[in-house]
Amino acid sequence: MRATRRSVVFYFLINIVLYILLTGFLLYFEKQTEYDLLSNQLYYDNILLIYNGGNIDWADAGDSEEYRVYVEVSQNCRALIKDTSKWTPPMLTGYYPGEETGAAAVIGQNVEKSIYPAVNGVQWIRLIGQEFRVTGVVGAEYATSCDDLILLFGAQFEESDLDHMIYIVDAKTQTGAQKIAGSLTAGYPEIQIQPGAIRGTARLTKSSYFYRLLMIELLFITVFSVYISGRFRHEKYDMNYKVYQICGLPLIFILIRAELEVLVINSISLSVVSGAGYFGGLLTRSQLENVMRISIGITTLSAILEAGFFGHQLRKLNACDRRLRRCGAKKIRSERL
Amino acid sequence: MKDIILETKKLCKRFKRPGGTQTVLNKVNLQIYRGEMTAIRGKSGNGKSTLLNILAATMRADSGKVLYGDIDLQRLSNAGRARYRREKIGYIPQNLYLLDDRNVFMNIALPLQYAGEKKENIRKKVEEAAEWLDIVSLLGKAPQTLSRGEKQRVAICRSVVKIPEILFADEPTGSLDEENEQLVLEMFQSLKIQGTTIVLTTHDDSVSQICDEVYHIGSFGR
Amino acid sequence: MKVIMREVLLYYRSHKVENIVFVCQITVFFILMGTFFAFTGEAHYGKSNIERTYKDKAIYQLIDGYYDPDAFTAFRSEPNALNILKNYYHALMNAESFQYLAMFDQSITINDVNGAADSDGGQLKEAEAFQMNEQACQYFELNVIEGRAFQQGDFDDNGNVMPVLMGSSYMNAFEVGDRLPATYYQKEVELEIIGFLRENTMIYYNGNYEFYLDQYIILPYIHYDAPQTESDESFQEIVYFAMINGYISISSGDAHTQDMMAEMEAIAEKTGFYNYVFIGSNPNLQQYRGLINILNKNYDLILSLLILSFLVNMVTLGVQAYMMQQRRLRMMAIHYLNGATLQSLMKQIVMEVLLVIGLAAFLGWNVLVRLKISNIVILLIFLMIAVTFMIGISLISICKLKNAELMLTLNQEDDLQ
Repeated sequence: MRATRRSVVFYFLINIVLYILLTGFLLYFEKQTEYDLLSNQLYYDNILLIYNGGNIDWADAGDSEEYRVYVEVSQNCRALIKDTSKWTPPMLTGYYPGEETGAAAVIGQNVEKSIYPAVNGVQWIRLIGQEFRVTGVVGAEYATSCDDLILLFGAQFEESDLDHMIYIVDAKTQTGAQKIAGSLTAGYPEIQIQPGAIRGTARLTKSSYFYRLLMIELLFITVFSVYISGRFRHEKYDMNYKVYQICGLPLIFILIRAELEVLVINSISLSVVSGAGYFGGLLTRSQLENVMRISIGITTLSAILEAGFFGHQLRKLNACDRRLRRCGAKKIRSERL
Repeated sequence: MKDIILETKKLCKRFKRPGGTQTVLNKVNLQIYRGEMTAIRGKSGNGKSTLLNILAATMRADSGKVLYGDIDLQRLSNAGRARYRREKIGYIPQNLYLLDDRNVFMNIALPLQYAGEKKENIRKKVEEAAEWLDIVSLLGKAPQTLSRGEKQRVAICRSVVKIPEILFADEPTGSLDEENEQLVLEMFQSLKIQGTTIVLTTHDDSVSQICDEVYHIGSFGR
Repeated sequence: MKVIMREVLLYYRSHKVENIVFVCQITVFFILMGTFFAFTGEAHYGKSNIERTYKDKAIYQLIDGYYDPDAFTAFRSEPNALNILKNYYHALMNAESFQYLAMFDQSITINDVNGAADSDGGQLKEAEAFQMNEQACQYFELNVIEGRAFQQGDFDDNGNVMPVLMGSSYMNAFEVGDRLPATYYQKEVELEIIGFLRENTMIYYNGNYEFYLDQYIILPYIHYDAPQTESDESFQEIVYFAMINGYISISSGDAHTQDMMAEMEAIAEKTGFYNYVFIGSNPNLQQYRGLINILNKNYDLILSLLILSFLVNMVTLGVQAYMMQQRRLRMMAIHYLNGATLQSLMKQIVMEVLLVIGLAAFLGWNVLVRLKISNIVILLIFLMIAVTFMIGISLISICKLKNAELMLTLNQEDDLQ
């Protein structure tokens, strides 16, 4: 039975804290997005306002980018006419209609207090001359800017009405918004496009700018940490590897052994962090999936680095081999032994 | 009348191990005479290297005295002990321990560097010592590229470059072939003639035979 | 000292890749911390601004009651109209039980000769402008990042020259001191730029608690001297009519509301202007509460992540530094054997740590300056972290050096304990 090295504890420690940091960032990102949405009437921070857009055929507008298109009914009410993203806002009760057909609506907490009580368990709201079945309430347990919001689904508009209405494109990314603006302008020269004003935490805290910066920095820190701890681990086992080579094990088997060790360390670190997170109530099932993806990334990176360190040794061996052959030594095939 | 250069009195040393405390040296008394070659023999793990380290002031014993003349090295300050190592002794460790971040010249010059010697003096002394040990051609090389015998000579060169009063050597012929072993012993003889006191550890009969004094360390360091 | 420096440089030279990666890692750590502190700074600024403006406050909109154009014309044709308006306005300004915030978003026309404000190089350009009195400027604490804020003298009549503040979106087009000819309520004026507002400067206006001034030119409401000509008088009447439409801010509570109402009646009585109307009753409270809730939670979230990142990185870097120093112990033992004192070895450790962390902090600071998210507070925090880190790593290494049997580390190729 091989004695456990005290130094292995250090590698586990570094791995575990790295996982904790990355999981923390994952949770932060989701929460920050929620706050940005809740404080900006459920918009992302890439909004386009389109005037004179009555002629736009949104079915042709392209689905390569993730975006939603609304028609503005009033300051606090808008009707969804196209959605290319699998997006669900933070819901307090009920559900987000999404793919459902028929006239439906999701409303804010304040609106819920002012509409008629449920009939046979179903609440209705009447707007723009139509009735919409209320499927859920958006928002959070605390007051937010969405409390007066109404989102309509399956609303019917007269063509003449659409000519005067403002279309709002809510794109997930800035490049997406730019692409959509470009393609719409090219296809419909009569329209006017203005960037919409961002509000809430996205603007006040500049969250998307800082988030991008933090992500880049986190990536670097992860890569450097994995490199240094991998390098130390490799050097610590260097003598062992030399002994294996002396005993006749080919380098590839030693490499496989090292990679398995990387896998074991990462698996245990993942189990510890995700187990503590899930059973501690910090992580949901979907978040666990994201943590697993992170783990795959780190394990792959560690494995590539380990292979790189071995590759360095192999290059040195091959260099000796080449020098020997230049001196006239012939390679002996193993069958001749 | 033989002149005692180093003397130990009731020297004790214990180490904490996972299974308990191990007594490595137990009331060891010995005398090292000036200008002589002294061997310390014993089985592996009996405390030979520990005793050598204590004599060379790289380690302190738990109790007892180590007298260099009338100075007890045990009670000397860290600065004093460092000065003793810098000015009075040379040490050839068992595994040689050449620094691989510098070439052979700089390895040999290391003790002179700590002794505060000027650049010109360092160059002169290193070249003289290298010539004596016939390793001038190795001065610009990296230690990793040398053979065991060459490394041994570099390690010896490093320890004698400042012409020490006492030279400590831990298993100096441990993993050498006959030819190199002979070479090393000849160098030691040559140093002895020049007045250097040599203290070495060995479990090799051929080495202890040429020594003036031989001490045996039995089990539990007695 | 020379020997120590030489040893330090030799060590770095022989372990280039490892040390470069370590320095890069610590640099990125410093940048991460700097980014976090800038982030929390922004969040705190937004949060505290809103809290200061809206917490425990009630805001009422005050407008004149002259909806009917005939009534409006009739009032303006009275010989004393301008004096009534001026007296009414000054009484509002000097009220004791409330703060009067005169604000309006009357656009102006700029004679944009150089085409700096617009890429199509138009000559006359309608620009979004916002007028505020001194109390409104103080109430919202307009934060200026370049130049200066409005001073008392800026609200006095200085002829045709009007000092203005610009929103942050104008920073690339103009500079402090630039003068722009403009038309303001059909009067030719010269705007002198005295400063630029901080990005995302926000006020309450028109029911919108997140009214951003980034795209606006801010003009002060001037206390005009007696008009010299008829056109002057006409101009001042229009301006003062705009100035008496604004917002009243009081502390929350019925007692304060009653005091405010009573004082308004007294002002009307004293100045002869009775035709005023209140709109809304603290219309912003719910929305403000919604925003402040989220800002508070966002701030707590960022702070939690900052603490987590700091601790995690401290652990990672600390462990890595410890592992690097462990390896160094063996080298230290060889130096010790060859005559180095423990003191010189300790100095060597301190020098190594100082160089690595000092270089990382310096590089990190430079990156933050380029990203324009650096300030004096972050610099002080950097120094604190750097010093703490240096002391921490050095102390651990020095303790290890002092307490370890150095010669034993030489013999231990492998640590199996």
